[in-house]
Amino acid sequence: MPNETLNSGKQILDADGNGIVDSFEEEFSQAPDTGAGVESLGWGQEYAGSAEEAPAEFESQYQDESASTGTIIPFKKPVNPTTENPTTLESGDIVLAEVATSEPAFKEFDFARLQWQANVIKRIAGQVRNLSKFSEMASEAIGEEGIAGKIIGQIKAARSNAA
Amino acid sequence: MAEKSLEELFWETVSGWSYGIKNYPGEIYPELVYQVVKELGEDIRLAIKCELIIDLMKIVQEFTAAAKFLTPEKELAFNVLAQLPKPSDLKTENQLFALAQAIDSVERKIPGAIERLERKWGHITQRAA
Repeated sequence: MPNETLNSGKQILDADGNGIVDSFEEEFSQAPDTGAGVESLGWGQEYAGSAEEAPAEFESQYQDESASTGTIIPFKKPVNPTTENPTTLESGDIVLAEVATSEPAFKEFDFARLQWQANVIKRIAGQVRNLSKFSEMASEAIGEEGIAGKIIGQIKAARSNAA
Repeated sequence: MAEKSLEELFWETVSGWSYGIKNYPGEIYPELVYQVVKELGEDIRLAIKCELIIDLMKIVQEFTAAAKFLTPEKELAFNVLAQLPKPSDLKTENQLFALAQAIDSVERKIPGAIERLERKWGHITQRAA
């Protein structure tokens, strides 16, 4: 059981007696006040200066460290892909398609709402196909004349044959 | 299982996005689809840099159908065009060729695409100067 001395605000110890946070003040004084929080959610640089406009519920409920665009959607239960859409899904795909419909209360921050909705789509899309796979391979291929050159060579050859 | 080519992976990505749009549990409206196009933009730029020749209108048609035709095709096409890299960001002849082919795929269906991009790139060049 961690030894929490929250009242003092100076020391929180883990089970082994190691300090976790020396002081809340220190932790927060180190946080840059540049809207980086917004960027970490993947909302785009143009919104970096509007961190204080982000609804608190958005940050606390929808932040996802693993997703590149930064939001997590509260899925309720897994859906069997073989019955969900047998023509699109592949065997072995893990699909959690039932998305919570209770959206956060975005009243004035329409961009956040838009991004949140886009991320719902990304979640659904990403569970069917690995959206990051192309980016990974393409990044590797850039500069590697072998792969890119081969593809373009094939296309050119096909076109000249057709002509 | 044979490794998939970049081209196959690219179109799988597009299909994934289409599936996401199609199965979105709320109301689909144009701005939301444009936001998805923006998300896809990175992959489009990577594809061009990898010298892949992509039919942008195929993306437009897939997304339009997935959005139940609630998004005007022409506007969606121009949104997709906006994701293309600037010619000055490309280094090889093959990349430029891939870019030209991608633009041409839209121009053939929606005349004015090239003109619009030239204007955009002109603005960027002027601002940079």
